Amino acid sequence: MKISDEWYGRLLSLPGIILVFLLILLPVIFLIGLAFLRYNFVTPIAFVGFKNFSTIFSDRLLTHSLKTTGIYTLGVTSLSLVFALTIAYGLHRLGQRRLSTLYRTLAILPFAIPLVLSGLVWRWLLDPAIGVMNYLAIQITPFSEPINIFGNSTSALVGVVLADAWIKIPFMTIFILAAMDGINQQLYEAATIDGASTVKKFLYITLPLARNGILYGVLITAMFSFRTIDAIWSMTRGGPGKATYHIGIYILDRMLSLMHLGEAAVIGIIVFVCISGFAIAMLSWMRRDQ
Amino acid sequence: MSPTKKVLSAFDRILESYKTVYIVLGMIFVALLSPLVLMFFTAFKTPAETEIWPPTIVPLDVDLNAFADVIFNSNIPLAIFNSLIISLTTVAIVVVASTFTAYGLSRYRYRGSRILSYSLLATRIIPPISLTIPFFAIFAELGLVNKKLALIILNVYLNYPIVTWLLIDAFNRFPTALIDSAKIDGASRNQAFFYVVLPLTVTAIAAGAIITFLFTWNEFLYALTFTQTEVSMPLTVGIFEFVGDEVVEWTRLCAVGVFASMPSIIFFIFAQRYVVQGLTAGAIKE
Repeated sequence: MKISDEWYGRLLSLPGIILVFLLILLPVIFLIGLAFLRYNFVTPIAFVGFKNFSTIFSDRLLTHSLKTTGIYTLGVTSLSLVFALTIAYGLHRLGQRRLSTLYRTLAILPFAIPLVLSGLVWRWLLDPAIGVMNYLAIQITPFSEPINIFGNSTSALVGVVLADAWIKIPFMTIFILAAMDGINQQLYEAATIDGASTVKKFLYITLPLARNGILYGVLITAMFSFRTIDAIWSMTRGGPGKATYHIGIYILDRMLSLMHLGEAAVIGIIVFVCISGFAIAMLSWMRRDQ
Repeated sequence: MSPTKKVLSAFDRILESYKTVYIVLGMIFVALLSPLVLMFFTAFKTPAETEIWPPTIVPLDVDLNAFADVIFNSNIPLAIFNSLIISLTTVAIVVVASTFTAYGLSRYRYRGSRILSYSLLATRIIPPISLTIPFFAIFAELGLVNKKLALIILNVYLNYPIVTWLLIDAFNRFPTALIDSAKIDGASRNQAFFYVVLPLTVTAIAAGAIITFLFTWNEFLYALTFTQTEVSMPLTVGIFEFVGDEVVEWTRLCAVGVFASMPSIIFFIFAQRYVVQGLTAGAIKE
């Protein structure tokens, strides 16, 4: 028996898609359901209405962790954007010149390292007693005492932002560079003949034409910073006190330490709404201004 | 040289020069890569040398005890084994499933196939951290917590949409004429797929395999949530064996770091182009 081309396509693609949608949609439905349940592996499961919501919304840790996550996301994204733009533009200028392959590999190599490992290495570099960064800071800045950056609640947030921004630079560079590489080289040649300076070429050719790639890099990096815990977990686990209490750590605390899956689900829904709202807003903005 | 060419200022000339680009990038790379170089060196130091002030960079004398300790006296070999099993199984499942799905979606358009490919991409918006909670409840009921199978299932969910999207792109660019001529020569649809299309898209499939391996090898969130015992613990969680509340054993930690970053670095140096291709597929276009 011969099946039509359309059915052949369905036969090839649908089994995988259905399985993965089940693997994603079922948990989403469960997530929403869990938010209305008392689910703690100790007492029997019970329907509690909006009790989990009222518990979480009246918890001071919610606003605190949202604020921390917001500052963290903004700091990591903007810092890594500045460096990623510089690196990507430099590599884009080099084009196929000497050493360009080596330079491109070096620029994105740190991306290959597990994030937790980078976090742990940074914790060591910033250590007040043995950290190389502290030694450098004493040598070249006005500071004369080692800084215990993870010991104080304000500086701890600065510390994790610095380290995670460093970790995210190569990731962001990949997206920006791909967009810049799509720019037609003849535009630059024409501008050079007309006597445009490098700054002008960057502002009027590179930036506008790579705009969507840059915005996409910003979107992905911001989404990642909002929802990953790798770097913070390995550096401070949310401490000292609750100074670096990222919302991801909040979820894990409720779920693994307190075993309140219902309350954790409410925080999970909040993260879900924040991220998808941000992503949809940003994607439609990118689309509209094309 | 055009007669209308304006004279550039000294500042512009410096910016314009490629030497400046090489130097600035070189300086950034030193800052970007030195933490990794330091980690590598520290793995060869004695524990005492990590405590001295000012800190040393190159080891004063090379000590291989950290590596020996990690290999013979810790759970790290088991963790490496677990990471390998989880990553390789995930790669096998994702590559096979994504290839079939992507080919079906790309070559044989049917009602809804476009929407299906876009909704696959849209699943990326759902934050994995929100789904840890339902997954935890489901896996606890099914008795899958602390099983490698749990991590394989989760990594398949994380990577399948990305790799499928990468392969849809590759199959879309595949010249239809080659398939048509194979059909004229009497090849069936299956034969055209297996003997004409697959051999010529093998680099894209390899790119999918490599990014799946890297992402799975480096994955931390689900590994942390779903493995509480050494039996199933992958390397990203196993590394915390050397991190105490007060004291961190830096030499051994760095030795594990060398093992943990080895596969990624090797893949990256030899297949960097494909990694980049895989990550940016679907991002720039449309």
